[in-house]
Amino acid sequence: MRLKESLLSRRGFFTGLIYGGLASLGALVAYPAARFLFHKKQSPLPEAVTVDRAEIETIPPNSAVYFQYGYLPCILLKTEAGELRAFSAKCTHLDCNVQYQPESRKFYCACHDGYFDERGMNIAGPPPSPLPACTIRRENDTMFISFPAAGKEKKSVV
Amino acid sequence: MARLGICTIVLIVVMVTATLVFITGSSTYGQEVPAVKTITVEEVKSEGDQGAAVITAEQVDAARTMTPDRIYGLLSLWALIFLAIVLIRLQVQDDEKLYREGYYSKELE
Amino acid sequence: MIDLVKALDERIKLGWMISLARRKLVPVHRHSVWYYMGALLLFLFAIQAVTGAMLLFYYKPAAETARQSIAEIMVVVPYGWLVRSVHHWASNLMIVLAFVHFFSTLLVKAYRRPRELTWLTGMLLLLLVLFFGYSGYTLPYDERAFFAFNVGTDMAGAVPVAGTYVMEFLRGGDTVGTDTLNRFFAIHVGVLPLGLLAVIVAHVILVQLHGMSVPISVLKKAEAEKREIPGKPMFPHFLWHDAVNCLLLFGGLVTLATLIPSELGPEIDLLKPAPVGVKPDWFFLWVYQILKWMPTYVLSIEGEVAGIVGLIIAALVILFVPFFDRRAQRDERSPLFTALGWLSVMAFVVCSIIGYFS
Repeated sequence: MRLKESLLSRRGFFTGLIYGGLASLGALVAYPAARFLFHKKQSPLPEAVTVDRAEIETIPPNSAVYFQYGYLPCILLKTEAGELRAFSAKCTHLDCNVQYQPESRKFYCACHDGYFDERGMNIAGPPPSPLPACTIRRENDTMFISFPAAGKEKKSVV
Repeated sequence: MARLGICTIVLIVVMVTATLVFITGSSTYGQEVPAVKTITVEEVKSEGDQGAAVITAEQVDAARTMTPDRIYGLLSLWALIFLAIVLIRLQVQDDEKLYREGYYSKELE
Repeated sequence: MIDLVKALDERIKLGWMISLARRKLVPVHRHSVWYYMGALLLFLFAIQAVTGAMLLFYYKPAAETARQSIAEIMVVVPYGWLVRSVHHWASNLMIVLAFVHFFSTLLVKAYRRPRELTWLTGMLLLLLVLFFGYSGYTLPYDERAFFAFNVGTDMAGAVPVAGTYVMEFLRGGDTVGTDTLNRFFAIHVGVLPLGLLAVIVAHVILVQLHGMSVPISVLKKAEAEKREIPGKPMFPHFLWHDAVNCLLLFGGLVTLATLIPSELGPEIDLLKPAPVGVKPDWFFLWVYQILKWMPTYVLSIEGEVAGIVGLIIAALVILFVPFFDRRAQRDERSPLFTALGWLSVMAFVVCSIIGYFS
């Protein structure tokens, strides 16, 4: 039964209130559940990693070795001239690990035929951006390798 | 009928040929990548980062203590439950009245 | 505006389901309150499934990582303490309500013809719920869980003939180790939920088929007074009653979980002796106490084995009570079985209390 002027019958009003009440109860329950499920683990990257010069001497020129920077796999290249360059080994396309091809002096990603030159610039294939490069600094007999943005940008947020 | 037989035979021949081509063809599965050479590095630890430290019993007990936030949460929960129950009881009263009037013996159209 | 009801009716025959629910009448009499137990248990099962699935996101089921992962849930994960405590308290409440439901159907004799199958499936559900509770509190792999593993599987091993096989199956070997945790995890998360769900479906279908049973005393009274037993339709009246009960249960559950959050025992130390006063969880205290009373040897059988076999026999008698209770089958008063029913309630409660304080 409903007054001419009203939008709803009294019964409809109460039914709406009940469902609204249950919906707010649902929201009160859903909030902690969502926070529980969407929790992200903190996994910060170290400020830098160190390598002994002795180990560096063992790397033949025009070849690359892999190392772990926190959770990031990285690649350390020693050029023909003996210069050291370090990059993240994760292809900027879809995160496959790249490999160094000494014959062509390029980094190659086997997943979708992506190519980076020896300075990490993306030159062919799907990769949209260059390989993130590290800065290498020498102190006495140790090399310090670090990502310029590590400690700030790379720290994941909870 | 004969057409059906010929089609079946052709289909089987095509399937067998395609299978043989794919099975005997070269595959890249399990192909060796050039041997991975790795070097060991030392991480430079800064004071701020802790990583996955072992969680102590004290921390677990601390997580079990009551905080004002939890009390507010409980109170709001009971307030909403109370509201929902009052509304539902009102609705049930209305339904009883309708039942007595025979409303619920009518089938849903 | 879309008429939602009409749209659903066209596609899933909502109208047919609602008219079925409207035609189903729930009898109203002084024992009607026991009819609510089923819906509450179903609600608790849903809560367990959801909170259990949520906990699965963070629990790591290996001997080295299990306890730490639970500590992480309690301390690091937002509201982890709440989800875990709700899961724990809901399991306790579910076992309480399962026993209440079991004893109430035993005493009002709802197992009479034609509801024997409902009774049998119900007993199976009780067993599954108890096993759920037991396997659940072994998963933290803390000190208490370790003793639960040892004692529980030893008792399973004490059953004559099949015992050794059951024990080795549960342990994943001769002794309790890392494989045992894996097995109990598989049982708790994989086997039992599917089994429970299947038996619940059978049980609920049977209940719907036969309608609600009316106690003999109420039947006799209505006969004597020559009147019908009044009934209320399932939809919408009883559905709203169920909703109110479930809301109250939910509120109580969250309150308990917030006021008394779950504990986490110390790490397992294989060389440590059993702590003084180590006991099973509350729902097995009656078994613990009865076995404690058994003498070391009963007619040259080991006391523990005799106790377990005795309990199994008693359980089988209760399981087949619909077939023993001839008078109830004829819808006649059956005071002997009522007395036996009250005896079993008393035994359960008294043994549990004594077990708690002993």
